[in-house]
Amino acid sequence: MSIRSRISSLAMRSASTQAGRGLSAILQKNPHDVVITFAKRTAMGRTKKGQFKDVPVDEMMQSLFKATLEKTRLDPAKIEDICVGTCHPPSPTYVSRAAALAAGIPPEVPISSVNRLCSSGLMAIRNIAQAIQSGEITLGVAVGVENMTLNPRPTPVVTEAVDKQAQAHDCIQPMGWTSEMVAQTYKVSRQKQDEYALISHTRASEASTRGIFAEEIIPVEIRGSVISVDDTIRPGVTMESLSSLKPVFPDWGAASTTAGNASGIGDGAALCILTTRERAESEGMEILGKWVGSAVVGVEPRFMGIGPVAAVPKVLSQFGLSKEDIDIYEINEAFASQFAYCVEELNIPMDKINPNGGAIAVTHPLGMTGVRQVVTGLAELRRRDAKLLCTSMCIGSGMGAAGIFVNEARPLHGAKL
Amino acid sequence: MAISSLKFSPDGSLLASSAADKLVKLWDAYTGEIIKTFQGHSEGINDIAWSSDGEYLASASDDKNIILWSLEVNAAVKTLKGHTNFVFCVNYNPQSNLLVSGGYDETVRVWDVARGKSMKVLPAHSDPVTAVSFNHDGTLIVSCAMDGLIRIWDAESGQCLKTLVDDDNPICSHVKFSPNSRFVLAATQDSTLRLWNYQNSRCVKTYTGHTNRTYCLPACFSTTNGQFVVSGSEDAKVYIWDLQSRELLQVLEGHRDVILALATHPTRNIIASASMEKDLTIRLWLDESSIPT
Repeated sequence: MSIRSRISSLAMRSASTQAGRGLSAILQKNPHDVVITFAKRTAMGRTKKGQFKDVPVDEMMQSLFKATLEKTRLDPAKIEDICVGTCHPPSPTYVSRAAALAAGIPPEVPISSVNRLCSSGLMAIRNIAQAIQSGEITLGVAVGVENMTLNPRPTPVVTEAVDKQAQAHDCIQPMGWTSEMVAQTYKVSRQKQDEYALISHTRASEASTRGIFAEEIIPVEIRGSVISVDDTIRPGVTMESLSSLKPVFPDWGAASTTAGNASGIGDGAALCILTTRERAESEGMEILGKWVGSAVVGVEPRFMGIGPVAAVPKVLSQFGLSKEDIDIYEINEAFASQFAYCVEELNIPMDKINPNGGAIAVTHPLGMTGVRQVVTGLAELRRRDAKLLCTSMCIGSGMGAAGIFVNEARPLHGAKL
Repeated sequence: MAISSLKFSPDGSLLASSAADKLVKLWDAYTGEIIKTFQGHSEGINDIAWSSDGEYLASASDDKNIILWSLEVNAAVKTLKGHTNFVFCVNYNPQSNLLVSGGYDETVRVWDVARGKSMKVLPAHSDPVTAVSFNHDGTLIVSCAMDGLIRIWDAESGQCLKTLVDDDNPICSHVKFSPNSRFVLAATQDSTLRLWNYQNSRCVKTYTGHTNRTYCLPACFSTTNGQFVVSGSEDAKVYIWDLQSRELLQVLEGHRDVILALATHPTRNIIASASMEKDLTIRLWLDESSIPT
């Protein structure tokens, strides 16, 4: 490459990483943009009784990698890095690498795992996207996976010297405790929590009836069965059925968190393929969307659920966007207590948020969620022929994260049904 | 003892029946004479289905097997093993190279008929699967179960395309595609039949008046002389509704126990029905004015 073209391509690259503030700049298409060419998820399984209760994460990943390679016909040798967002399986990097190898991905393809708790899936996308932006790689795969049935959250243990510090003590407490802390401190009533929970359950059930999720689910074959439908969504939830549920954390004050207004516990995996726009176009890969960027924040550990209230404005201002510029928000529903608080504090209309339901209805397999939100959000933008997605979640131990994506896929015509 | 299923052959000349006595019987559809008995299952039979050329019958049994019977050689030619509990329902695809079955193991299975092997296992429901069938071009499968859900599947990939459910999700005892495959007719144990447009996921017609709270009663379309919906009932009667107006047009009385099996003739105005315990008869109902002399 001549000196002149090398300098100009470097200039282009740093220009694209710093440019792009404001809606019209964000919507521009540049050859060095990081684009998503594939975004799918497996169906989800309910904890303990669902379809993945006996299927460890390595097997989930192996079958998802295989189904992805078959569907995309991507030569796996072209993958330059894989990042797996996952929280609690033992030896996450080892088992992810084994799963990739067993799926036919050659040993020349490296892999890593990332754990930022509930945002791990988004962090996996962020790691691959930023590696592409830096020029280190040009094509990578981001995965989010969790099996909460087989790998439940372990209880963190710290020494007395560390535990003495109040926030250090708070940051390792169970998630249910933080839900009650948010509910009680910010006065989110049980009634309000159940109302938001009902929205989630109703939207997810309707989406399932309309067959919406069939567009984003990739069937995977596991032990001779084809897994393709969420077994997590409960039809026919009403305010009566929600209000009759007993609080699950009665030890922590005037308890209001129930099984119906908390995120379901579940198992599942999701995957995105990312590359540069230039490479996608030259190799004929369909461009579904574009990575814009992300933001991570820390908040008071006791109130970890308020994470999105800090993360969403930060990412919007980073890119010169207003909250009205965003067409769809996927904000994780860890608990209706924190979700209700975030939605009202951010003052975003509910019809833009989680249009097909959220974690309260579909469950929140920790590592999967960050990728699932992108899969689900892009699929809905595609149906609506709309442009901007903002995903966000609160994070255990007191953090928040958010990401911005642009949809570039045209609405599907001639769908199966 | 009960007669569990009745099916007319595709050319209408034969009527096949299955029962808890472990036997499949073939009858002349016009004279009612018994022609043949097939023996081979070790437990009661829940359902039978004809291949499109009328050469084969498939039977689904509590012995966890599906047996394929050849009418040409008058014997069982294949046994399909795989279900881990009672097989409750079975149907061929229009090309008759595939079979779909459902059972108490909560799965829907797609079988390659020629090889006699299971091709796909779908963990389709969370309760026993009560009905399965293909649409008119074999591209879709519909299933329903005691979990109250009706699911539509892509026959090739096994992917679930959508889930239809009414608010109360009553136990769904039967489902089938309409002749033009644009609708599915579902029978539920709240004594209601519903016609669903599955493309827009809306229930477009409901039919009531009969009783269905306990058993899996099949419902059929009758299209030889207008458009009707026909169903058995737990009050021992056969009910016939006008498909479009939903008006209950006729009630056929004669049986003395629950009507568990029902079939409508492909070309003539004939309905076959069968009952249980107190009335182990198969009855043929004719519209005499329409029989050619």
